[in-house]
Amino acid sequence: MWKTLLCASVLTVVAALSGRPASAGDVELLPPGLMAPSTTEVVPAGKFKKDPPWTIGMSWPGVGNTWIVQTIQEIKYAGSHDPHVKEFRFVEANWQPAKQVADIEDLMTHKVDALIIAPIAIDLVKAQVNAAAAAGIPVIVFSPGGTFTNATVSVYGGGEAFGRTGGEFLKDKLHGKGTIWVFRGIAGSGEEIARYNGLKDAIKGADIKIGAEVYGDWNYAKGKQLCENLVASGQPVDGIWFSGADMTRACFDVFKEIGKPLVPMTGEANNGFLRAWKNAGADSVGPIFTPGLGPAMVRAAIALLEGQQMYKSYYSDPKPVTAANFAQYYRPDLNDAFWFPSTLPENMIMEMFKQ
Amino acid sequence: MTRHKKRLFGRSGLGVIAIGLPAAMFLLLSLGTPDFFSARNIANVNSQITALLIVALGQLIVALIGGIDISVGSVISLTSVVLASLSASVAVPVALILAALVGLGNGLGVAVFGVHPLIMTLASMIFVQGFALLIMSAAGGTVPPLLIALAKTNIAGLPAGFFWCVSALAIVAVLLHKTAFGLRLFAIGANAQSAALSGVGVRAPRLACYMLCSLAGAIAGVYLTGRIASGDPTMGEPFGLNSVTAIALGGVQLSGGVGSVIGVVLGTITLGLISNGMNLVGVSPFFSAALTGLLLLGAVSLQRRKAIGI
Repeated sequence: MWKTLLCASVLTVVAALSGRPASAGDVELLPPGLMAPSTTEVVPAGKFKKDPPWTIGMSWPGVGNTWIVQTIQEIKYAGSHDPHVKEFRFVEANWQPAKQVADIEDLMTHKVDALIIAPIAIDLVKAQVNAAAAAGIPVIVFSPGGTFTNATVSVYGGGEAFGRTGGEFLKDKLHGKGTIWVFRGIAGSGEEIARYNGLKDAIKGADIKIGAEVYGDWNYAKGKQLCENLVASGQPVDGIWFSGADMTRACFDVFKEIGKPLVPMTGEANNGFLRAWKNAGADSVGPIFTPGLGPAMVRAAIALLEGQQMYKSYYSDPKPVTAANFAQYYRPDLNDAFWFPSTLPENMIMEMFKQ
Repeated sequence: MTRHKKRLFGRSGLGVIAIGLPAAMFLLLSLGTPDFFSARNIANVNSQITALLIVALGQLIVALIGGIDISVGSVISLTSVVLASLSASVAVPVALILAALVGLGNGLGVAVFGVHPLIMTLASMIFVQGFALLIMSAAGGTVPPLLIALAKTNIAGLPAGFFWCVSALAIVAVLLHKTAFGLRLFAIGANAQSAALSGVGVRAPRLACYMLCSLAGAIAGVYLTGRIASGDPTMGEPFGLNSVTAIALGGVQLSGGVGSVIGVVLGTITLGLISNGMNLVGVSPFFSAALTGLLLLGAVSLQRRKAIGI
C-alpha cells in the first residue's frame, strides 16, 4: 500500500515537472554561486524568439589588462560554440565613448538579431539602448552596479560587490576601527567608481578613517610609486583597500623592500595575485570578478533568441577567495594572467595560461 | 622643384594620398559590404565624423601657422561636463568662455612666452582634463534637451550632423579664404620671419588661432554631448591626436603654410571610414587601430619629413 502511494506520488511530481512550462529559472547563465537572478520580473517566453541562424553583436569598451583579454577569449568561445549563431560580431571601443556609440550604430546597421553591450559608462549608451529596444532588438547590458532599466536583460557584477567585499574584509580585520589607505583605479571609470562606492558602503558607520586616497590606474608601476611615497611619508596605516590587485602586488613589494610589516591588504581572484599573496605570506582577500560575466551575456542573448523566459536582471556576487579556500583556487601550474573562475575548458586553459 | 610644386593643388596640400585614400576606401567598402552604401549607414558615418571634423578644422587653423594643439580633446571633455552640470541657460556660454580661456592660455604660452606648442598644449591638456574630472568624476549629469535635439534631429531626411559639418566648413572656409586674417595665417605659416618683416603682425593671429582651435573643441563638445546625451569627463581624450592624424592624412603640413578645408574633410572621412568599414566588414577591432597607424605612417612616409613638419 505505502509502496503504491509512494510510486503514485513520485509519478505525479515527475509528471507535473515534465509538463510545466519553461520558467526563467531554467536558464542558467553561470553556475549557482557565481550568478543568480536579482529580480522576479521576467522577460516573457517567446518575446524575442527568432528562427536561427542568428547574428549577435557585442560592443566592448576597450582592452588593457589580462582580465579583459581572458574575458574576450571566453566571450568568443561561447559565441562560436553555439551551432545556431551564424556570426558573432565583436567590436571594441578603445575606451572612447564616441567610438562606442558609433560601434553600436554600426552593429545595428549590420542588422544584428541581439545586441550585447558592456558600456564604458552606463549613462553613455542609454540612447543607443533605447534605440535598439525600439527596433525590437533584445539588448543585454552589463552594469557594474545596478539594473539598467531599458535593457532587455541586465547582467551586473564586480563594481560595488567587489569593493564591498574588500571593505568588509578590512572592517573585520581592523575590528571596525583604524586608518586605511585607498588605492583607486583610473579616474572617471564607471567600474572604478562602483568599486569605491562599495568600499564606502562597507565601512559606513564603522570607525574607519581613510588616511590617504590615491589613483594608481590599476597599474603595478604607478601603484608601486604611490605606495613608496605613502610609506615614506610615515602616515599611519592599519589596512589598505585596492581597486585592483596589480597595485596590491606593488605594495607587497614595497613593504617587503622597506622591511615594513605587512598590514591587511585587499586583492582579487587572479592567479598572479594569489601567487604573490602566498609568497608574501600576506593577510588578504580576493573578491571574485569572474570573466564568466562575458559568456553569461552571450548565453542570455542566445536564450532570448531561443524564446526562453528569462529574468530581467542577474547579479554576480560570489564568495571571495580567502585564506580558508585559497587552495581551491590557486593554480601553481598556470601563469599570472589567469583569472578565476573560468568558463573555458581545461585544455584551452592549459593551452593559453600554462606556466 | 619646390615642395609646393610636388603637390597637385599648391598650398592646399592635396595630393594623391589625401584624395586617393578615402576614394579607394569608399569604393572597396561599397563593393565589399552591402550595408555600407545604405542611407542609414551613410547617415551614421556622417554623425560619427562630425565632432572630429569640427575639431580637425580647429587643428587646421593652428597647423597653418606651424602650431599644434593636443589640448582640444580635454576641451571637449570640459565642455561635456559643464553642459551636463550647469543649467541649460548658462551651460553653453560658460563652456565657450572656458574654451576661449584655454585657447588664450595656449596662445599666450606659444606666441608671447615662446613655449613649444607641443609642450604648451600638453600641459594645458593635462590641466584641463584634471579640471574636467574635478567637476564630474564619472559619466552622467543631465544634458539640456535642446542640445540633444540639435545633435540628433533629422531635417529633411538629413542627419543633424550634416548641418553641423556644413556650418563649420563654411565658417572656416570663409575665414581662411575670404578674409585678411586667413591670408595672414598662410603667410605666417610659410615663413613667420618674412611675414613679420613685411609688416604682418604675428603674435595676435597666433593667439587667435589657438583660441579658435579651443572654440572648435568646445563646439565639437557641444555636438558630442548632445549626441551621447550624457556628460563624460574623458569624452574628448582621443580627439587631440585623432585631429592631428586627420589633418595629416588630408595633406596639411604640420610645418605650416599648407593645408585646406577640403583636405581636412578627406582626412576625417578616411579615419571615419576605417572605423565604420572595419565594423561592417567584421575585421578585428584591434586590426582597425593598427590599420589607422599604418595608413598614417604610409601617408607621411610618402612626404619628406621637412615638408610634413615632424
